[in-house]
Amino acid sequence: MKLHFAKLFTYLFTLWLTVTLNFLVPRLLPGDPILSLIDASDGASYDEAVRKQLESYHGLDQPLGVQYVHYWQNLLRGDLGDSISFRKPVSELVLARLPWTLGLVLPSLVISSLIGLVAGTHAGWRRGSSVDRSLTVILISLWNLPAFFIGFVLIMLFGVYLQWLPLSGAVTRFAQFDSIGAQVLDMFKHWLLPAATLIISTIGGRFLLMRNSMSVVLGQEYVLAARAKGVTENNVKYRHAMRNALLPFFTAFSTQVGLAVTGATIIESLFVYPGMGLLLLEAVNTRDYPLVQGAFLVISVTVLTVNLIAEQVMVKIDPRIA
Amino acid sequence: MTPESHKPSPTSPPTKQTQTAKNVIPPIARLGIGLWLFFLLVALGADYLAPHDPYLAKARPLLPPSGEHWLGTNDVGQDIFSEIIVGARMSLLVATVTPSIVVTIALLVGITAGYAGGSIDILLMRMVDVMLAIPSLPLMILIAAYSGSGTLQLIAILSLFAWEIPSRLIRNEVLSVRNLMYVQAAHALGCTPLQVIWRHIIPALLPVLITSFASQASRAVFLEASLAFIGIGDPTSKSWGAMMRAATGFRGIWYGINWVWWVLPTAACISLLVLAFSFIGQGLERWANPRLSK
Repeated sequence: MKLHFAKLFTYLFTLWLTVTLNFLVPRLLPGDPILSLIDASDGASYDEAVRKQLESYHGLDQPLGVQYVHYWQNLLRGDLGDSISFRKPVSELVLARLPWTLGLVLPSLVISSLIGLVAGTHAGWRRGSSVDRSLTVILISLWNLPAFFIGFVLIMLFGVYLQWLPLSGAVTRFAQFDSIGAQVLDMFKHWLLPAATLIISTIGGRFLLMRNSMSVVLGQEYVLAARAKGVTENNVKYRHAMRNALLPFFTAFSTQVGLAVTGATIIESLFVYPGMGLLLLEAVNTRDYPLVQGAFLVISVTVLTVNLIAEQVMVKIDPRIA
Repeated sequence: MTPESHKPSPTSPPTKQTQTAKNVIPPIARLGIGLWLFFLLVALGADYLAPHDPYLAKARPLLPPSGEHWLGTNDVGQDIFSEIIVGARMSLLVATVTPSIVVTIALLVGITAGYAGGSIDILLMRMVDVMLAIPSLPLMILIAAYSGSGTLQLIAILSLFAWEIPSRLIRNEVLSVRNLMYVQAAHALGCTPLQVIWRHIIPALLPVLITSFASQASRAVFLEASLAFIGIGDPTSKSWGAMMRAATGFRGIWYGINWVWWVLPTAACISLLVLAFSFIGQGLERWANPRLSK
């Protein structure tokens, strides 16, 4: 597969910048890194000698350049340090959480894109009709509701009042399952509400994009030409208009990944869903700084990589993007 | 031009291209402005409007609404109605300061890129691409974790990841204006670049500036609430997002009826203010830029 190099270069530069920010932010911002390395929960106190020892242990007494080289060396060996609160390697913790976030974000993104695509195509095709207006009002209103509120309402409705679905978590704790099928069903039930929240809160943007894209395409001459030569309405709609309107819709997909991860962080926090976003927040709340940095790094690299893959696929679909 | 004096009569057909229609602020924008002014007054007069001190936990916890506590009390016995009124301050503060910073940065970057062109333009727009590619929320959380949790830091973080899109919009607008006849004529008549930018380019940017300001205000309110909800922000000051965090973090919320007067009004305020700025942005976009109202 031929890669698009300008995009690849931007990706590599962004990747380098992200990794470097992860190194610099803790060192440049006010706040004592040594203080943050000490587990605040057991009220440890230390004197100047312990401090010096810690500084040299973590290499913080060395020049910034040397620290930066060490940082990269550790990173390339896959060593993200050790979590203070979990007392485990950060990489192990982070990798355990990654599948949950990906499993939440990627299917939700595809479903929300598909619904936005279908709704946007119909609304844009008959712009100003009652269907268009009601879809626009409903979806834009939903889009303006904070994700945590949408999630709250869904939990109240399906979790508390109807009692169809669990309130939080990703699996039923301490449960024994008779079969793999029962276990998958349990995971699916836990997945449904967070995923629905993510879908509902991202659908408005996808819908508007497709709707606007459709109305731009409908003004083009090739649509007029297709009509003039007697192509049926459905063929004009799907084969001439929608196909071309898809391109801006696809192009924007890569920016959606970042937005969805943002949404997922908030949703994971509400549903106590054990993904990367929740791990990052737990790390911040327990002042587990090695874990904060590790979680940030893996989230960022994952989003950037998914973006890169999406962009390379888009170039295949529409060479004009390149 | 007195936009308020021309009210469109409801019976008249939707005239879009006529001279009068152009000068009338669309109803949707007026609704937005009305909502915004309402919340602004609430925020400014919070000290007089709030019936109780929202920081004082002196009532019994989880009281239902009553004459004394219009929206009841929360899990520690603070008056929810007063919390919402005082919480409006945080939302309106970020909705005012953040867009001001963002639009100022965007003006500088956008005009520099668009007017200078060439390698400066390429460099600045690549910078915008890179900033947009970095997943912003995780980086916001990282910076917040190390910079401490104050309102000032929060506004700085919100602004840092917001100037990119307005900059590009302004740059594109500058590019389209730069080669117009009247700008060329101003150059030919011997205006200095600064004069051209100040007298001819910035006035042409007004529609983009207004809509950018409104959409950035909307985004700032939304993001501040989201960040406060996940626990990033000043924990000592009241905000709607922090109230939502407290309410959904309280386990009993799922098993009682308290959410009706605790969660619903809070969420409604966030959504209404976000919506108000979207309305203002969308409405004024068509008002300020008649080219769009086709």
